[in-house]
Amino acid sequence: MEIKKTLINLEVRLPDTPGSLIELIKPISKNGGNIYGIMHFHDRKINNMIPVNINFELSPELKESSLQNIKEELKENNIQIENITYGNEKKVLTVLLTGHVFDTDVLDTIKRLAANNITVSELQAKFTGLKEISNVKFKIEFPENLTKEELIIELRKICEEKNLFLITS
Amino acid sequence: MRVEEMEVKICLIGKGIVGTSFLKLLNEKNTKFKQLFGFNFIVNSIVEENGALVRKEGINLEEVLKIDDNFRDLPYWEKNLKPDEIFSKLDLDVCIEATPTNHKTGEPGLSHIISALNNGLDVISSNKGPFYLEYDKIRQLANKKKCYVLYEATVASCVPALGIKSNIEGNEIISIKAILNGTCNFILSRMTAEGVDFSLALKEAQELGYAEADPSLDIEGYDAAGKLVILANDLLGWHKNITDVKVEGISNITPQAIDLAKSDGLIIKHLAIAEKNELKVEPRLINKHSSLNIRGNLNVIELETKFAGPITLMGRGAGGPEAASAIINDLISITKKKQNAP
Repeated sequence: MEIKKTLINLEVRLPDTPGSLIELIKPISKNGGNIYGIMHFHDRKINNMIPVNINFELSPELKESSLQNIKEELKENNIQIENITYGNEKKVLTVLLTGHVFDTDVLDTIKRLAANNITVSELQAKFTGLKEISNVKFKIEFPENLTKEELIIELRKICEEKNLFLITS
Repeated sequence: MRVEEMEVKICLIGKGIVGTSFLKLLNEKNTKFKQLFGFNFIVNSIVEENGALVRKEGINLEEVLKIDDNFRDLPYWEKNLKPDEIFSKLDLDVCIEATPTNHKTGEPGLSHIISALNNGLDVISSNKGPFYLEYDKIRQLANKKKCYVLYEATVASCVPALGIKSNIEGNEIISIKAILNGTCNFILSRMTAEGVDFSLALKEAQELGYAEADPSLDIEGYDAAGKLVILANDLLGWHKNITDVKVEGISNITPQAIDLAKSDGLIIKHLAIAEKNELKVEPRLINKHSSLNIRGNLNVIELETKFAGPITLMGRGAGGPEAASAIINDLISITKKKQNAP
């Protein structure tokens, strides 16, 4: 399915005490945030407070309400918010490919999509035998300026060339 | 106030499953139609291969239904009588065309429909071939001859997929997404529920009578494509035929692909889509909570409207009584229009 996501970078100061990281993560995940990464800056500790950057994504419809909840809950947990920045909105589409996806050079498929600013962010595969066809699920991230139809045209070109059966949403 | 009785003389072409179901339903409900609307439907001719049953004063439907396949033994069976001769010879109002579809030529139904219109008869059809091949030609001729042509049974059978248009005149249909082939939906439902492969699910569909011995028109998407053309032309005002549809079947779908979809809350369905001036029939991933996620051999049609979002219709898309009820509905609809005409 095509889903839109917004990447959020939150800069906070955490008390250097056991369990405080959990207090940071909990409100984000509870409010629908998908956490990508956390960076600690122990070398910049001041007054027992450590700067931490956390990256997560939210669907656009949750952005306003979830972010407000997250801010309030962090404040209650004594976590100081220093800064919030937003990344570009990106769209995600799930597709299925059936055929000799690996034998036809799956890396080449991924690289050719990447050349058009299309990223395969997740790959899951199922096989029935070494010489048999495989079934592969791609989660594909694509930029705001590319339509779903344009993405599918790119995918179809590759699939037709490699004789792969494509199912889109 | 007593309603004045209106006689409607009918010629039925095709006494197969649909035609026979129509006769049964009409026989059962004709008295009620007289009471309710003042309509007296009289079938005065039934055309089959090699001839026709003809009785000017009206055929005794009970007698024909009772004798079943031996109807050619009835004394008013006229061997080698053709529809053209009946149209010019008999006093008729409506021709009901219920022959099987030849998907390449639309014949013999197409010729029957053209001939009936040329003879000034209103036409009701359960035969989709003529409409996905020659939609514009039939509509133009009907307009020229000032005749009604209705064909609700051609798409999703008893589901009022075409008739709904007159009930949402204040709205505007923008696009259509539908599941129009019960066989494909049955096969995909079995593959999704039981994890069986395509060939086993197809075999099961054939054993249960949902799929033909040659299921290619269903599983390769041609049947759904034909119905989609009719839907798009009728509801969206397009002028397409079946060659305009991009068609992809379901035979390449594997249980493993279905599993991968499931792990994301998705389902694979064979969708017929009319949007942005394009017609497509292809497997698509849909959310498992979508209203298009119907199981078994049902049909579903989701109309995206400009002022009220989606409107969804669902029901049995095949079967004799189902198609017969759609034909009767068209018959009543045409007769009401003629009754109200100045």
